[in-house]
Amino acid sequence: MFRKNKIKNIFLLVLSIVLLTLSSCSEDKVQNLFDKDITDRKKEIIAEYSTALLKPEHGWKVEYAPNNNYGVYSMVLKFNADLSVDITSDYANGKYDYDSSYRVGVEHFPELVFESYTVFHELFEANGFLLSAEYQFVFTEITEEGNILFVSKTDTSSDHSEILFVPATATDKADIIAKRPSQGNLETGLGKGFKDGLEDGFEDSFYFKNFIVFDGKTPVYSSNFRYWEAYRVIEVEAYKKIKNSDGTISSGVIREILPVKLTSTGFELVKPFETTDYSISSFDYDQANKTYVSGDGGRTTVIGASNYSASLDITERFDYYFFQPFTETRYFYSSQNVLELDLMDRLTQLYILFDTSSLGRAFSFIEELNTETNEIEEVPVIMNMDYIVTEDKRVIFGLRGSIPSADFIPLADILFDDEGFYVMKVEEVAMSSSEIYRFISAKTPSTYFSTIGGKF
Amino acid sequence: MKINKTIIYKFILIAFIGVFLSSCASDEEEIVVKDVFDEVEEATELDLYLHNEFLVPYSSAIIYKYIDKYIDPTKKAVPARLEIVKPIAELIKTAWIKPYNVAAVDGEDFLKVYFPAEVILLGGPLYNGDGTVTLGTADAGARITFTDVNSYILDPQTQEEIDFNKDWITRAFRTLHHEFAHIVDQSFNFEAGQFSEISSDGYTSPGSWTSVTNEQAIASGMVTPYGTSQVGEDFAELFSFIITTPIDEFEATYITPQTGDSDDTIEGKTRIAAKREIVVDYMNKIVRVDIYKLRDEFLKSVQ
Repeated sequence: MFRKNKIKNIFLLVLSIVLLTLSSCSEDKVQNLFDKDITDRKKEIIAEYSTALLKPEHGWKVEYAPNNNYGVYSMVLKFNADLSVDITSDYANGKYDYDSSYRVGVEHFPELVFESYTVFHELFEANGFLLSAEYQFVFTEITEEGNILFVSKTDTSSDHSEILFVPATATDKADIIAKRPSQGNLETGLGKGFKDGLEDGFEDSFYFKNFIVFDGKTPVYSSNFRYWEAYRVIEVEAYKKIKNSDGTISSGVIREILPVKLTSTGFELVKPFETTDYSISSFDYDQANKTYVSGDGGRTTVIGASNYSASLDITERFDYYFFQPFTETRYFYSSQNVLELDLMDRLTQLYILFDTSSLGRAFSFIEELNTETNEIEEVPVIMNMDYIVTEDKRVIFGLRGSIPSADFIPLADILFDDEGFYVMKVEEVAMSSSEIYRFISAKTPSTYFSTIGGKF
Repeated sequence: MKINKTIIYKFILIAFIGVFLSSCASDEEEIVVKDVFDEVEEATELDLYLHNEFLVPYSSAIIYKYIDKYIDPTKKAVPARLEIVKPIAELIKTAWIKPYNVAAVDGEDFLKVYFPAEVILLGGPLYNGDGTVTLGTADAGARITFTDVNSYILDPQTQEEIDFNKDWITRAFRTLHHEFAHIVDQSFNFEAGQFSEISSDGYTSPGSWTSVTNEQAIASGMVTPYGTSQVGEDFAELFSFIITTPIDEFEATYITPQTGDSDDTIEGKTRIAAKREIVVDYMNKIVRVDIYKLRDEFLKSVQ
């Protein structure tokens, strides 16, 4: 009896398990979150984006700005079904537009990876990774307009850069090629960027230029100008009035770094150059005058080679330039490396005199300890020098003799550099009635000192 | 009714099997395991070349496309240029594989066993994030990362470019042979005891080898400052320098006392000579590779 019951129980147990298991497969099962499994969904996503990449007949136009602080690189990317991609860029004359393979895949997100070295990798490595460029992009969406929006996969900041692929037109690729310089010293990294301007001497990132805004014929803003292809930015630095966020006006010497996007006729500033009165962003190259010109903001802005070097008009005796490195009423602006020269703290004044009848001279005063009185005294140093003014308006000094030795003058090594100086009139003093001239080293324009100029 | 116990158990077993086989049958999916070799049919000419020259004979994948899982996330790297991959692969054949095939007692069979399963090509060095770079790595006896291949100049035109390439090959393959030394070490379990005792006082504290000069390294009994960092690196540096340095240069620089050598340098050279004997002996008897023949073949290949 007991055995029969045991067997019956086993039958009931098995029957229950069978019924329970079968019922778990009923139509009432929990609805899946997705109608397909992850493998199929991955395949679909990859197929969708791969198909989209291949779709435009002329490829994709990309205005690639790896970082908001730096410039824009124009590219056309033509993706091919064999997983190769043809790239045409305006960077470095297309030198790094190597053939590459690409991969559309899914890791955490659907992504596009340029698998072999091309211009994206060059930008990634450039300047010690400072551009924050990338070669791995995460698909974000295909927009209604048919564009594809990506974000950077590798940006470490929370502000991941966005990259928009727009279907290219039939002429976009040719337009980029047209922007490239036909010549240039690519081996040294120069000769990149602006097409015609480069060939006329704008190729050196450090090459000294002026950036002058005219209201009619009157200059209302004057600055030195540099173009940094390594970052694709321009640099201007001058006295400027600006409107603050609270509406007040302030002024001072302001150094601005402005990202650039090259165009077929010149360039555009991604962020406009703005003052209280005008805004300037678009420049065209003037081949005849070898200048970049903008008519934005109702002003005429000209970027050209050292026009204001003509300020150094040494036609009369005793044009003088006075440099005082340290003063409480700071009316000068000099580069930090000049101010930090050895012995600079002993230099109190430096006069540079152009004597057209004979030689130039430089007088300086340095502080010396008088061992007899145990007091600090100003001791004069007189340097006799010749000078020439070159065709491109550089002034080059040559030391003829000095009493006592010019070694006492911390600026002497810079002053007698054989490449000389550009001398530019600048507006560094808002209230000063004196004219201010900046002596800018031709060899290293980041080295400069400012003086008061005048005539005896 | 008498029911046999065995029948009951069979019934239970069949019921369970039936239930499991029938359960959720609609979700059943045919799982297709894709053979990686299937992809060869769709591969490029370059992929086919690498397949035929490396995967088939040595079971080794030359990975030239960027895959971030191969890169330590704390480091930065870039891939190789497409056009450089085949020339570099040819260099690997002539300056690595062929010398081993000649120098190994087992001939080609040696590298068929010990050639790394993966060789990663990177266009530049591995940027470490602290301003330093890594020129190569070896992992678990199975993978070598070969860096900076984009620097190699294709079709050099000037003597300067030719000289650059020679220097690059020496530097790159010195790194490669260094990394392969680690694989040899990992595979054959180099007994470092006697070796490490020779220069036991010359190893530096972690991270400080960068402040050691070449002269100081030699005086300590190592061929390079990096060799002072630890015994394993000492072995790998000596191993790679024996292979990649012309014999006269090696003897003059590391073995034979020269006029003007300090006592410390002479002592260091004695140490290097002693360690070289251990490495040569180990390679001959344990690894069964004539390292001098390997050196001669390598130097011949890069002329």
